[in-house]
Amino acid sequence: MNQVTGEQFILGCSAIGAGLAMIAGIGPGIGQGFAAGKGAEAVGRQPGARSEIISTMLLGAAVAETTGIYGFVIALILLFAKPLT
Amino acid sequence: MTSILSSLSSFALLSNIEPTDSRLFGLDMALLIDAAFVMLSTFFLFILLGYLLFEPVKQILDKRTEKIRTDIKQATEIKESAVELKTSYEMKLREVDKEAEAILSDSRKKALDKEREIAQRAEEEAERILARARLEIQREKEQAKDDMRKEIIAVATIMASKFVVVAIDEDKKKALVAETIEGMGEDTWLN
Amino acid sequence: MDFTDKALAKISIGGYDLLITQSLLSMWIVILILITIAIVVKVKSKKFTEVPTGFQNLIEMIVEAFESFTLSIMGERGKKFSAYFGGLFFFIIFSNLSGLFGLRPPTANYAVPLALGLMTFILVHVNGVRAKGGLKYLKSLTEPIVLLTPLNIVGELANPVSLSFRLFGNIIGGTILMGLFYELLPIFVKIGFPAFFHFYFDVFDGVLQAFVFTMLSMVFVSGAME
Repeated sequence: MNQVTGEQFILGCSAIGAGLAMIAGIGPGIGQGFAAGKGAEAVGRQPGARSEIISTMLLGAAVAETTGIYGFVIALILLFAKPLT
Repeated sequence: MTSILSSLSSFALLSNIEPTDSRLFGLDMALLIDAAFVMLSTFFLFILLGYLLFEPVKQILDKRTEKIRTDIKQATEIKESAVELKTSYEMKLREVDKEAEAILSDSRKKALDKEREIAQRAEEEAERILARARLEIQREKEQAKDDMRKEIIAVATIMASKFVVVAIDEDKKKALVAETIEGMGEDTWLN
Repeated sequence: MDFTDKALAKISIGGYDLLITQSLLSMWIVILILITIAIVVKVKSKKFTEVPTGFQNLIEMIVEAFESFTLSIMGERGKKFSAYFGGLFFFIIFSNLSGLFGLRPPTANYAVPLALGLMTFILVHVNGVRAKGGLKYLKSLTEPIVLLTPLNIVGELANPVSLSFRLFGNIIGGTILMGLFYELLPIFVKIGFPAFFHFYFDVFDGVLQAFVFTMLSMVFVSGAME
């Protein structure tokens, strides 16, 4: 076995960490799906307010997305900014 | 002063780009400097966009909205005044009709009055003519009666004078004539 | 694979280095395009007629649609902000769509979303102080109870961060995925096939994120003024 330097080890761990950080994607997925489902329900109940419902739904989905984006940014930092090396 | 000059002199394009200068993401001082730089440029952009694009177009739109509003207001005002004018004209027309009717009926009445008057006058005239004619007749009759009496008197006198020219004297003759005339009476000979 | 934002030149100002990268260059291109459009509109606006036609119709439709959008979210006070948010919206949308023309999207450089988020942050708090007055504004941070003040402050500070990271994360994610597709796909699939991904990551996501960024900024500003 080749010797693994400390830096390489940290890089590998960072990659694993980035992968784990992307688990955060589950939350926004559920949240956005919920928002979209409720939006569809609302449009079905009140087709007249379609545009308003859609803009509200997009706003809610965007807010729900925040945590996922945080996870994604952590992954990016781990992979590219390499704060631990 | 010297610090400004030195910072200006260091404001030069350098070609010593290292591989570490190309990056995807990093939280460091360079990010803040870049952000400040971007803020300046975008702020400049937003101000330019506001003054060059949004304000003039918005002004045009506002002006048009205002114009449309005043136009509609004017149109409704004109419409209202037109309706008012129409009703007043209709009222005047009705009045004129009424007046014409009144004038017509008045003149008809006047004409009727005149007709009656004329007829009356004609009747009166006729009456008068008739009366005058009657009077004339009466007068003629009177004249004729008088004439006839005179004639008869004359004839009787002649006849009597011839009959009694010798036998009767003047007094007796006169009495006889008077008696004859008296006896004839006023009406008996005419009927 | 190299997804980095390549530095093209380096300018040092008073000891600090300012790197002119691909994304800053494309930001300038976007700014130049927008200013050109604005100048064209300004020049043509002198000849605008009562009855709009063609180009005038398009510009009027865009401006009017944006103004009604601002008014629908911010209410009557949105009138004086509509120019700023309009500029913001069109800058972000042009930036996101610049990926379609082979440029590196400026919003894929975190400095750009961070600057925009900070501008929104400054706008929010300046207008909050202006609308409420300093003391009342500070008091609104201690609501509903004084104990929650640190949480409120952290929440306020998190707004520009979440705002800028949302935009940045979406666009850089799209850029990295597009880069990966172009790297990994065999040559004969590279032509035509990525159009779908371009449509999703550049057009759909770009427009949506521009919309969301502007809308959230409006919500924050009008929320601070209430």
